[in-house]
Amino acid sequence: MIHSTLFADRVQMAFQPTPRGVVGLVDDLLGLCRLYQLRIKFQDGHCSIHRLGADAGESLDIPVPKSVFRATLARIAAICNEQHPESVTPYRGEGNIAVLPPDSQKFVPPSNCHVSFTNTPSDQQLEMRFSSSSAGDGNRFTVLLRDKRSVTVFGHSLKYVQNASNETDYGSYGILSRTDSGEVLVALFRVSEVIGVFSGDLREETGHQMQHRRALEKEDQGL
Amino acid sequence: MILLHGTTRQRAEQILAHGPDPRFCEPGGQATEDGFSMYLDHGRFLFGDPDDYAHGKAREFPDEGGPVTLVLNVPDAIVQKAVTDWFPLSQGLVQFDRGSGLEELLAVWSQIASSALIRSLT
Repeated sequence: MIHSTLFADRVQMAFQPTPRGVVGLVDDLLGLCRLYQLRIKFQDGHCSIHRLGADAGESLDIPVPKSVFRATLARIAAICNEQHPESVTPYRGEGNIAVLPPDSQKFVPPSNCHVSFTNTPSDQQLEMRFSSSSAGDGNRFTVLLRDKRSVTVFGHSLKYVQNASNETDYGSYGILSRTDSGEVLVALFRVSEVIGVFSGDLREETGHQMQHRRALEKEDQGL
Repeated sequence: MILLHGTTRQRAEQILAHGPDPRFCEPGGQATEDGFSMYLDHGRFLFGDPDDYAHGKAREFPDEGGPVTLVLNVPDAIVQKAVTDWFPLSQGLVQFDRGSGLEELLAVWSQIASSALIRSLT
């Protein structure tokens, strides 16, 4: 499956050491949060990375020094506190992190990633869920579904909606629209059925089919 | 190179006396292989401020004498042993792990400890 391979490739690439160090790893993981909801747990010298909302085949183990993952969690805590002072301790906490798109994707609006983490000597884990995003310059979102259908929805922001009553349900992406009386939810898509959510309009000159195909091949345009 | 480590007074005194213990076990915890992390004194504190770590540990372990910063002058050549692709000095964090500077740090610990300071944080 293209999707599973892309997921594994992207996660493995994020965990490749680079001159950007642990800070770069965290930036890349936060970038992935725009595409995937991840649970990462450190055990016996490797990170077990599970994609929430996907089947067991979409999880992988990557060997990483423990100090690297503990520093990763420390960096996550530091970003939480930079953006929301005193919101977490270095050892545990949860909060939203505003994630700017990489320079190569200036057309993608900023998004918010909800993180929860534990970083104690005996327990190190991180969960990252896409939280919300604005529609940028446009006012519509295109949702690509796993059954290859695409749906265009008018709205001003995208939000992750958790299903608190059912732990086996990994939640949904909701698209919100502004009205005089506030925000209303105009569409809801289960995480498990979605490949990606794309902000803005699909441009006529490139062709809908080409955009659709390119989006399937290159998911990083999403969310 | 001046390096900082935020901790409690009791732990700082233990570290000075015996050197960093990578298998240090917190009360109620399990021994783990965590290495020893320090910050460059001029920052950048991209992983949190060492003072905050000291206050955090002091809060979790209130019987350990309160928060302090351990200030150490570590030879540049030993700091360089800890530099890896994951931990470039530009991040401001120096991570001493087995095979990445920890053995060299322990080998000269008595010399480093003789000029160390424990700075109280209130």
